[in-house]
Amino acid sequence: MKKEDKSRIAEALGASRVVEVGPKTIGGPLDLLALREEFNQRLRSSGGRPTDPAWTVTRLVPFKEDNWTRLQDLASEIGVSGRRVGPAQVAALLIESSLEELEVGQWQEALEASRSAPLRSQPQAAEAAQVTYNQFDDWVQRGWIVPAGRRGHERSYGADEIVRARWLHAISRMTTDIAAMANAVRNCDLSARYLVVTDAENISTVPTRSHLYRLLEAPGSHLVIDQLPERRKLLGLPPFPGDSNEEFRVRRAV
Amino acid sequence: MSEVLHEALGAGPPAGVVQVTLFVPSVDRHGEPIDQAYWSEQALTTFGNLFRGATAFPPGRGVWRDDQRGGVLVYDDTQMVTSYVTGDILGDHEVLKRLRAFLCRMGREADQGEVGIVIDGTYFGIIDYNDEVEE
Repeated sequence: MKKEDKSRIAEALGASRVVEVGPKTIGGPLDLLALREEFNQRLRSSGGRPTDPAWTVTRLVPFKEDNWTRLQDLASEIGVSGRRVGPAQVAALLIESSLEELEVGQWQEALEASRSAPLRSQPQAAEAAQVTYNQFDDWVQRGWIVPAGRRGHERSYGADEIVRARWLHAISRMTTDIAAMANAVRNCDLSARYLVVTDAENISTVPTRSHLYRLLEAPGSHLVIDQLPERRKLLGLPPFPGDSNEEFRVRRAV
Repeated sequence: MSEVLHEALGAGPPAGVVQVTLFVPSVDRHGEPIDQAYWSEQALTTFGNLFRGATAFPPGRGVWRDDQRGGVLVYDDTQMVTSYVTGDILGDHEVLKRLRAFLCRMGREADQGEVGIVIDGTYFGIIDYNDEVEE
């Protein structure tokens, strides 16, 4: 279940305390059903053994003997009434799931911290977004960037608006008709980590890396912007190792 | 094995894989016994109506710290009522509204400091339930 779904449940139940009880474990038959469902959705066959098309890197990994036996047991349980899978495929999915949980934690932490950081003046916000003051001001006048506070003529901005300005800046380098895209950027859900612009005309946000990979399977030219490095930069934190750039482009043939 | 059982039982597809567990207490916030059997039955009825089925497990020894009474520890023999549901059901606002109404009634009438429910590995603790009425 997604984090936003749980937030909605907490609100609907009027919960005053929300506590994660613990990490997910494969503890019973219903956990296996969830794992089997995940395999059913993701594995594709192109002649050979079905696999997830996103698994493109092959590596030799050592396992403890009892862990490998456990993976074999899980694979045969999953294969009883679902797709036939191998123990290494089960291992790949479990590793992916653990990595995603780790990343989701890092992302939520950066999102919440940046949102509760002090507001910035317009010159500071323009500088943080790496656009000129005049450009930033133009977007404010057009209503594409909205100040969080005003005092006299001074306006102040939160992290979300600085991220939006970064996105507008990236999109303006792809198209001359930024006006057509600006409203879509305005309506984007910034609690989702990745922005994807497809064929310089469709804008969407996705919360996790696995959602992103699925979206990138669609044909077209995709610009992806990862908010995490940008949010960390706003907080004055160094990038994570391997975070080379918050923007990357993916092209899929039609 | 699973295929044989599935066929022998004539089972349909599973109802869902999201676990919902309610803790039904045996005492009120002052440590006085309450009618736990009644509240377990009420929880089963509510879960049965909302989620199609539920199971009540035998009581286990539990403890809860009441911060509104200076952190006093309240020991009880908690009973768990569990359902497996689909994400769709929990996305239905009306279902959540009816679930909250029941939790609030239990909290209010059984004089609980907090009513706890675990949904998909997340604990939701409710302490404010004075204005909720079940339909």
